[in-house]
Amino acid sequence: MSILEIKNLKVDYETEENTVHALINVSLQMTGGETLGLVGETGAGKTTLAKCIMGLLPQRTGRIRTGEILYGGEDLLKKDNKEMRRIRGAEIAMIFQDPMTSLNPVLTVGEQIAEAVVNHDHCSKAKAFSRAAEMLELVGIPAERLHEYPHQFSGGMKQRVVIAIALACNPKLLIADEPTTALDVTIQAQVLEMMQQLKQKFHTSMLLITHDLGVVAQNCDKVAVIYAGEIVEYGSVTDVFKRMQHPYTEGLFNSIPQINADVKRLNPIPGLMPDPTNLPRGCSFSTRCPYADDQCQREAPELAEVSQDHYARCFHRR
Amino acid sequence: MSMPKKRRYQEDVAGRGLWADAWYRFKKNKLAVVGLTFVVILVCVSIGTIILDLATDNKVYEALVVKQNLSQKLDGPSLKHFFGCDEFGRDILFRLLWGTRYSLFIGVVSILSALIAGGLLGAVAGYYGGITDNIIMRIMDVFLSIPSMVMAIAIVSALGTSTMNLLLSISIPQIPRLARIVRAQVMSVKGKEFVEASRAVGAGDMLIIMQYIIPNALAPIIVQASLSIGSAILSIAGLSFLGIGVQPPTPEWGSILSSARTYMRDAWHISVIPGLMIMLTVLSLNLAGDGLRDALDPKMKN
Amino acid sequence: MWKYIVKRILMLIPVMLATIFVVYFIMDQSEVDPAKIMLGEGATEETIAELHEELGLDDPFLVRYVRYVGDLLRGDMGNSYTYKTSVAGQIRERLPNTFLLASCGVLFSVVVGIPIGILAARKQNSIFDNASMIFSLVGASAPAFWIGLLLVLAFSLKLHIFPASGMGKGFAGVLRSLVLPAVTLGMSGAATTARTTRSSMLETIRQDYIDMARSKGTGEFVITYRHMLKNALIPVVTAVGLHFGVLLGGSVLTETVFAWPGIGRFVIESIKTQDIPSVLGCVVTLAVMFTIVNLLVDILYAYVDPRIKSQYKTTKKVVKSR
Repeated sequence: MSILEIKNLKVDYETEENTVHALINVSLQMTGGETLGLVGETGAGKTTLAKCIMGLLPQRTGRIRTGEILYGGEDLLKKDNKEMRRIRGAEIAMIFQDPMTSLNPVLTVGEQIAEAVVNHDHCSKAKAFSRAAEMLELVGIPAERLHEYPHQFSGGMKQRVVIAIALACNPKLLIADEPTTALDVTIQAQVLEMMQQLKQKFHTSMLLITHDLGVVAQNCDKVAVIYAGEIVEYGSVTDVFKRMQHPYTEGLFNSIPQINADVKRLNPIPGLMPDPTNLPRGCSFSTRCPYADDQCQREAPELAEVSQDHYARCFHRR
Repeated sequence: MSMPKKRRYQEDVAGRGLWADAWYRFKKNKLAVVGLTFVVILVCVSIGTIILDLATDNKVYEALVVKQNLSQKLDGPSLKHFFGCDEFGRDILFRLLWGTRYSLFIGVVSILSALIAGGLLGAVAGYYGGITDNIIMRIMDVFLSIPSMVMAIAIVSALGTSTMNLLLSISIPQIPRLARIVRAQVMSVKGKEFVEASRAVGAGDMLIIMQYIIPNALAPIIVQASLSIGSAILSIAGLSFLGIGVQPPTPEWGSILSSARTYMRDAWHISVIPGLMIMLTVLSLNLAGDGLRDALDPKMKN
Repeated sequence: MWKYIVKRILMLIPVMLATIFVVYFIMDQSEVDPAKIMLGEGATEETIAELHEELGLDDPFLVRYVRYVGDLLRGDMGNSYTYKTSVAGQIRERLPNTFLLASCGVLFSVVVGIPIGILAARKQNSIFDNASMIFSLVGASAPAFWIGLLLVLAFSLKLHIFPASGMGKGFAGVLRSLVLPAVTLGMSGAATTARTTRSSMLETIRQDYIDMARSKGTGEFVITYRHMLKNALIPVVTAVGLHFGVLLGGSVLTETVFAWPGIGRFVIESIKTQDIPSVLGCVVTLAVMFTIVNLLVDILYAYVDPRIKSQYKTTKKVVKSR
């Protein structure tokens, strides 16, 4: 049974000068309890997707053109603000990229965790704070530090606090937007491991946004590769990692240094992502693709099933 | 997602220097252009009236601005006298036009001299750092802890009322503010590689300050100075209003207001119009200054 | 927290001494001979010289400065030439009035400026936003005394709601006579406060922790007042504190316009009668008032911003092995 289903989502950012095509016909499906990894370069549209699900797209510029985001069968895009507030935090929670800026500097961490509890349980302040203390212990921070301010915590600790806030109301779906990118490597592993444990404990599904394929391999069941606002490959981790179909996925793997392979230099993907205000007519990856031919420049390929539950958007599937 | 915007912007400004680039952005800000236009008009008016005075040996001045005509005393605005007449029957429009020079020139000269003094102090403090910096900036702090209007009043009351003393009393309280800004700028430029490079080839302190640091620190300093002129004009008008600035019968705007107070009951126009003039002048300077700031440093715009 | 306050108070002492030094130095440039004024018309060379000797007027500047500070500590500011009574007494009589006026001016600028700034930021680029920005531009550019004159024209001479000048009797009377001067004095403060609040609210709206709060399901009202305002007020506190200096200067003008019996009007009267000790006393009082307000602002600042508070707080870090 799918917990989240995104159908044909198309999102633009409109500014005075131009229109940025941030997401182009994105479709995804998540089954309860699984972790879906969303991989792509900076600017590919990963965070936009997360914000769309949360209903937090910048109001002034963000425009959802078409599509549906079905959560438990209901379209989130059709819900009003009040209904969305009830869903945010309680049903779907989000962990932001940078723990340094995602905590409010003038409120104690306890206040910030308790606020999530009060928003949804409407319980007394004291009860909310005891729940906050519980959550802090759960993420490995002594409950005594409840009344301290964010600046008194290290980066890794702050991200733990953010995780505590996100999980405080037992959400069924957790969106983690590059949760470890801003952290030291050693802390990254700790935080990810803790997230895995808590996810098991609370039976939460997770959408893990990252650009790190290593993180995907260790944490995800399925993976979607996103490029210039389009899903270019989508399937189980084994399928995508072992039997990759899209040249961009291939490029991503080639640009990782491998300790056991005898290569003199890395193989980065040449060039830059196309300008999202002015995308190429054909396949958006054709400008950087080593296999591109005339057809690629003329027509845009569809996302097609290559084997069961494994999709790729390329004419030159291998 | 800001990447494409940035690229277009770079295309727009390619091949232009800092100032041409700033002017390009300034022109797009309509309010700032209006402000600047008004300021330019005022400058022309004051220079024009000065030339007129010199050319006619003050005859026009005597006839239009000083000569009393009690028959039209306190007359309201009319076609003959656009802004009405004051308590001695003098045309307020002409008095305002001839008064422009006081606000403008005392304002500009006082800020300019404060800029020179504050700039030197700030540059020395920022460049040498250490004890020199500490001593200079602590003294500046002390000056900052006296409200500028209060200090101006103290200076005028000790030295007596004259245009020179008015200038001093407006100028001195502005020194610490400008010194702080210059110091901050100098300190941020000092660390840059091109300064290190010129020191490495044996340039002396003075040369480095003059040739590299001041030109590079200029933009925010000019912005602050242009905004300070507005507050200087307010202070000049304030002191004249209190009777310790420019003295009547000189048609300084603040002193026109000061005598207008007595006749407020009978003639509203003498107290409203000169104030409006002061406000518009300061407003224009502020608009132009804000525009300049946004044009020179687009990052600072909110 | 106490450690911080005590430290700040100790730091205040040299600043105040230096401030008084500067003020005393400026006033010392006066060419008015106190002895001549005290003795009046019929003074001879000898009696003037005698008085100089007696008052120590010919002593070196530093000696006189130290003596002045010493006297000041005992609450003695010398005698007024005009009133022939102690300057300290004159000031003590007027200080509460100035203090009342200045506090109401600050109150007005905060009570008007902050809500305008918040609403303008919440509805960025709306008509209200543009109107409020015009208000803040005009408010900051108009001379305070002129605003006072306009208010008198409208509310006293035309509508007869508030008195045009002086200080009323009794609580209601004082209150009635306080309205116009307080609005006059607070106008430019309200303008700058509105502007600062707006831009710092706009700065805060962009922060990640606001999205984070939304992602918890927090309502917009709580987000505005709990998450945004508390952060946005930090720069506003500084701006209001800095503006207090402008306000004290403005009180001189406002008190003159409204014939308000405070220090500001006293200083102008004293300048006109060349009553140097009174001017000196007033200027010293105003400068000291400003330094004290700056101290209060710094303390308030530490109160609003936990990052500063905790630098001085002696917390016992709980280190618990688990």
